[in-house]
Parts: sequence; C-alpha cells; structure tokens
Amino acid sequence: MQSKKTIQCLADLPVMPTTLDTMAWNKTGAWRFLTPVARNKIPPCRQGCPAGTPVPDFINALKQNGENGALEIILAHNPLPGLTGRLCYHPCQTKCVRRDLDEGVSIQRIERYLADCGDFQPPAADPGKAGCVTVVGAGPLGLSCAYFLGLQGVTVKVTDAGTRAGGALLDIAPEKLDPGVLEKEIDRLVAAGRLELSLGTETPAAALAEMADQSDMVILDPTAGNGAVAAPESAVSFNPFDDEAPAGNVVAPTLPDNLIPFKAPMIAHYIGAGRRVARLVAACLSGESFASQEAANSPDQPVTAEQIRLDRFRAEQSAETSPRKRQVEWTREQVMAAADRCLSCGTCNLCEQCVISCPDTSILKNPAGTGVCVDLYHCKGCGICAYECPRGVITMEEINE
Amino acid sequence: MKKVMMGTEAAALAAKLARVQVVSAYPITPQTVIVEELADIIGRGELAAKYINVESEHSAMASCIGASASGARTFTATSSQGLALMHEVLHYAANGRFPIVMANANRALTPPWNLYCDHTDSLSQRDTGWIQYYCSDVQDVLDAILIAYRVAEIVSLPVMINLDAFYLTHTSELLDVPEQDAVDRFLPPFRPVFKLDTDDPKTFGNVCGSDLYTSIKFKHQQDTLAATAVWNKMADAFADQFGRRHPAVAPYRTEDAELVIIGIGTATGAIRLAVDRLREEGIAAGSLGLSMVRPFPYADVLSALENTRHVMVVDRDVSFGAEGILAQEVKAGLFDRGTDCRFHGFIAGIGGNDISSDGIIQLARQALTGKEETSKTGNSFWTEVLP
Repeated sequence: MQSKKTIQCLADLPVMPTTLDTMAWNKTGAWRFLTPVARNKIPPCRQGCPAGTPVPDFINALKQNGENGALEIILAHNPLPGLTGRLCYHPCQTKCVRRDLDEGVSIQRIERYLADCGDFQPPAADPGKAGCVTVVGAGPLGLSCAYFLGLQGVTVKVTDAGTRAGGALLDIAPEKLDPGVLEKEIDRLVAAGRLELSLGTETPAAALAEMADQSDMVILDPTAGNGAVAAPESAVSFNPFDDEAPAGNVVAPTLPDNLIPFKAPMIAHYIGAGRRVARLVAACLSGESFASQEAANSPDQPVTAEQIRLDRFRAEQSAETSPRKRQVEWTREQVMAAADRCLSCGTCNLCEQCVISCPDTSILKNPAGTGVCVDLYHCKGCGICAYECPRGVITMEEINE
Repeated sequence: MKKVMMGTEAAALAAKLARVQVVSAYPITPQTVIVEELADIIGRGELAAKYINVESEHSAMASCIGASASGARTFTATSSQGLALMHEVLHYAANGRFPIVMANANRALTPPWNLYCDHTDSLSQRDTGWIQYYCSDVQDVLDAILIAYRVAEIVSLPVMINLDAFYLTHTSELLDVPEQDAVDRFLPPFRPVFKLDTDDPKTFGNVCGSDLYTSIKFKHQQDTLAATAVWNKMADAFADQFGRRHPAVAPYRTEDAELVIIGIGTATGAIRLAVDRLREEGIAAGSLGLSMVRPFPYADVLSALENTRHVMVVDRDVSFGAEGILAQEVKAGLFDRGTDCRFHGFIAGIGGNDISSDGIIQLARQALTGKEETSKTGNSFWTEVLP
C-alpha cells in the first residue's frame, strides 16, 4: 500500500470529491465469490465434425490473417480440405447455431475456397526422432494417418499397389470429383507430411512381418480400395475409437459398419479415424500419454446452443443462396461475407464486449492478443462480462483460491 | 450570420457550437425539439458526439455524470416532470462537481396537466447546488449556453440554463449566430483536472467521514458563491468578443427608482416596457432582471435596490405554505441590509398565463396605492384568480 497523503487545510482538498492518489492498491478482488473464467469451448459445428476441425478458429483466422492463416488451422486437423470441401455431408453446417437466427453459415464453401487458393505448408518436424512407421495402402485413412504421423516427426513410408495414391478415393466418379483436385490435394498431403511414397508396390501378406522388423510399426489401411492388403492373422485388430493403444507392431485399424465399404460423403470420418490412429500410435512410440497430448491441444468442454445469446445478433437475409450454388465457384467477397456471418460460438474473437462492459476494467486483452484475461486482484465477480459475452466463452465459476 | 430560430433550435445549435462530446437526454414537451435537433446534427455527422438514448431523465443525468467524469463536455435538456425525476442525480452532479450544462424548458408541474410556462420546476431545484440562469430571449439562450460551459468548467459546477416554455422554446426570433471559429476562441476544449482514467484509477464520490465532510461542503459553498463573479467576468469576455451582454443581474433605470420590479425569464421584457410607460406617467420605476438565481447575486441585487422605497417581485412560481420563491430570496437579501422599504409579492403568469406590460402596470399601481385589487393569500397577491 502506498503512503497516504493527508489533508491538512482547505487548500489541500481536491476540487472534486475524489481520492488524491491511485486506488489500485485496493485489491477489491477479495470481495469476489464467483470468478469469471474466459475459456474457449468446443462449438457445435466442431462437435459435429468427424475430423474435429475448429471451424470458428479458422474463420476468425481468415478474417485476421487471411487465407493462409486459416488454412494453417485447417491443415492441423484435416489434410484434405479440398475433398471435404466438396464431398462431405457437412454435419458442421447442420449443427450451426446461426440456423436458429436466420440461415446456417456455409462452412463447406469457405473450406473449399481456402483449400483451393491457400498455399500454406505445415512446417517440418524434426524427422526420425519419433520413430519410423510404414503405412500399407494410400487410401484416405492411410494417407491421413501417415500425414499426422509425419507432422509429429515420425518418418513415414507409404506403399500402395496402385500406380496412383488415393486408394478408395480413386473410385469416385470424375463428374463428382475432378481428378485434378484429388491429385493436388494428395500432393500437398505427401509434401506436408514428408512422406516417402512407394507406388506400384505389391505387399504380400507374408512380407508384413519383414516390414515390421524394418520399422517400428506397420499400419494396414482399410480404405486402400482395390489394392488393400488383407490383414494376416498375426496382425492386431485395432479400433481407433475404443482402443487406447495398439498391442503389436502390425496394426489393422478397424472401422464401424457404417464406414464400410468406403463412402465419399463420409470422407471426414476416414480423415478423423486416420488422425486418431496416428495420435495413438505416436503416443505409443513416444511413451507419452495420449490423453495429456489431447488436453493440451484443444478446449475440453462443449458450448451449448443455449449459451449463445442469439438476441445479441441481427438476423439477415444471407446473399449466399443461389439455385446453382453447388456448381458455382465462390469469389473472395462471397467467402468473406459468409465468414462475417459466423457467430464464433464458444470461441473468443476479441469482440471486446466484456472489456468495455466491465465496470472495474478488470477484463483485459491478454498479452498475446489471442483472447481476454481477468485482473483477479480487482475483479469483484459481478458477472457482467459473462452476461455480456454473446458466445459462451466467459462463465462464472466457484473457484476456491 | 443572421438566422431566424426558435429557442429550442438555438439551444441545440449552442450545444453544437460548444462542441459537446456527449448528449444524453429523454424527450419531454416542450424541450423535445432540442434533443431532436441534436440527434439530427449528430446523425448527420456535423458534430463528433455520442448521443445516448436512455429510458428516463434520471438515467439521462446519470449518464451525463459518467460522461463528464470521463472528461467529456456533456449536454442534456429536460423540462418540468423530467427535471423533477432527475432530482436525486441533480444533487450528485453538483456535489460531484461535474461541469454539465443542461437546458431546462420551464413548464408547469402536474397535476392538473399543463404544458405551459411556470418556474416552479427549476426553482424547486434551487438547493441542488446547480448554477441557475434564466433566459429573457432566444439570443440569450444561445449565448448563455456558450458562457455556461466556460463558467462550469472554471468553477467545476453544473449549470442549468432555463428557458420559458413556448415563450422561448417555440417562439422564433432573429438571431446573431456566431461563427464556429469565434466560439472556439471563446470556449477552449474541456481539460478536466480530475477524470476517470483506467491507467490511474481514482475513486470518485467515495466515502468520507464527518471530519472532512463539512470542509468539503464549505469549499463547495465558497466556490458556488464565487461563481457569480466568474459568470460576470466571462459574460464581459463574451461581450468583448461578440458585442452582446448577459450579466448575472440586469438592472434597468434603477438609479433613482422609487419602485423596482423584479422578475426572471421572458417576463423581464414586459416589465421593462411597463417601467418605460410608468416613467411616462411620472412614476420613478425601475426593474431588475434576475438572470442568475443560484448562486443568488446578493451584492448586485442590493446595490440595485439601494435607494428604492418599493420592491415588487413577480413570481411565476409558488412555494406552498410560504410565498413566491423569488420573493423569499429577495427578502432574505434585504434583511441583511436592514432596509425600510415596502415589499410587494405577486404570483402571476403561472401555468402559462401571459405577463403583459398592462398587467405589470396594474400591479405596480396596486403596490403604490395600496388598493388590493388582486386575491391575497398569505404574503402574496395572486393575479388571474377566479373571484
């Protein structure tokens, strides 16, 4: 506490009845019994995405940092956005909270635009340090798994009997998917994952044991299409959604019945499954716990549609609706207009409504400029910030300090 | 530049010329035109100000206080019931020493409902600590608001500029409108000594024990009493620049007057006319227009009444259970002088009745002859009362 100035005579009195010095020493935070916690939560669109793409994050990045900033976030969750942006049945849009206000955000169109025009490449991880894995089959699950292993520094070799990578993806009719787009997407994936791609390589089941000796693990891709290698009896069946760690070094991931045989609209499910296999395998190789890796990377609580204060937003007639919208390429203006409609559910986009509403100026932009933080020395816990936050980021919680 | 304008338009234009930064107001007849005009001016982008819509006059004044505390030049306008609803925060504005300027259209208090001119609304707020100025014409409205900001920001007190309902709010006059750069030379930007600052947090209106409370009030009283001289000084500076005088007190032919008639607002015009006509009849009349009622300009009033034998006060207001509010104020001043003059208190023109020079002459004759032709109750004679 600062030393107090004392008033000795009339002339010492300030004109206004104010304190003479700063009152910052008065730690009014001691009055608080509920504490505002600013924490991003999983938005409904992301809850709906089988690949776990953080939709508001990439839309906010698009607005703040442009196409490549957005693509960077997408590629951390989904290596084939050009395919999901065309083929996926977009459960994200089905869950979009904005549908209760006027019309959902066309997330898929934004993703497709970013995949087609962005040229971001994920940075190289230290190769080889985290082990070495062979993926047999270059279908969507195998490629996704190989890509995410590559991003984590695993040296990955992908073999496929076919002359082109893609596995089951190659069976999609050209009128539904431009082969040029498929090729471009796979090229980016292979380059970003630093994958050693070995095409036209038949892998007899008998050779798997030898391959397993040469690498730390062999993974059999169930989406390799015509070139799929049947899992030998020695392979370990592994359900990436239920099992915690593969027990063995020849691993045959299994898929739920609704994903067999390959269905193009379910593309995000195969990507998500491949990512999960990769993370479980990488955790197994590095000896780290999978749960701790996951927790460090993303919000852990969902935000509900009820926490989004729709009354704070203005309903509008979106300009997106067009009878031939599936066929028409979107312009940047259309994409940015769609991005502006995102409510950023559960995801702080620095609207600063809480900052300007706090009567004690105790909600501040965090030093990194990525969100807000609370001055707990002075916050009295009034809860105005939580009430003002239109996207469910700030909640009042009982915290025993 | 010459312009024909109503008092409400002149008040809005004055706020614009003063470059106010925050306007927070709630509409009420007959003031509404002021805030409508300002909303238009701000909406057209002609004034860089924030217009705050509120749900009541209490909130209007509360947000003006907040805005002023943050260092913004602040304006609002109200009338009658709206002013009454502000009562609590009027004290807060003055005790907090916030230099807010407010236009108040003097209108009768209800019930019964009456939208016309009456001064009881603002005079019943005389003890809230606001400087109160009463305009005599539309030019006075425009000029007084500019002087008011200058004074308010020097003495750190709020100023209420009163204009008679309809006689000023809705009557058009030919005005001299000063140029913006001339006003800017007269009225520098608001630079408060203390303001809300998140980087240097202070507590405003904090708790204070009995030890300091009295001293703070004593200083407040000293500063308020000194405001008359500050007003007159700034009114002189205004006159030097613009050629129009708006002193706290306007004496008229009082030097040798046996009868001085005192009034406020637009009635002062009719009173001056009556004085001229009484002089033509050989009666040594004079008048005293009280522009400033708070702080009460004791010295100016007493010097104008020095030689008079009859003091006549026309109140467009009443303090029930006592008499006219101005009558009490003037009497209180005279008591200190120990004068032996005769005092005549009239209640006239309330609820919008006209105060004409004919009417004033009749009242003056009554005062001089002692023939009681009007209804008397308590110390006051009332005009316009049913037999």
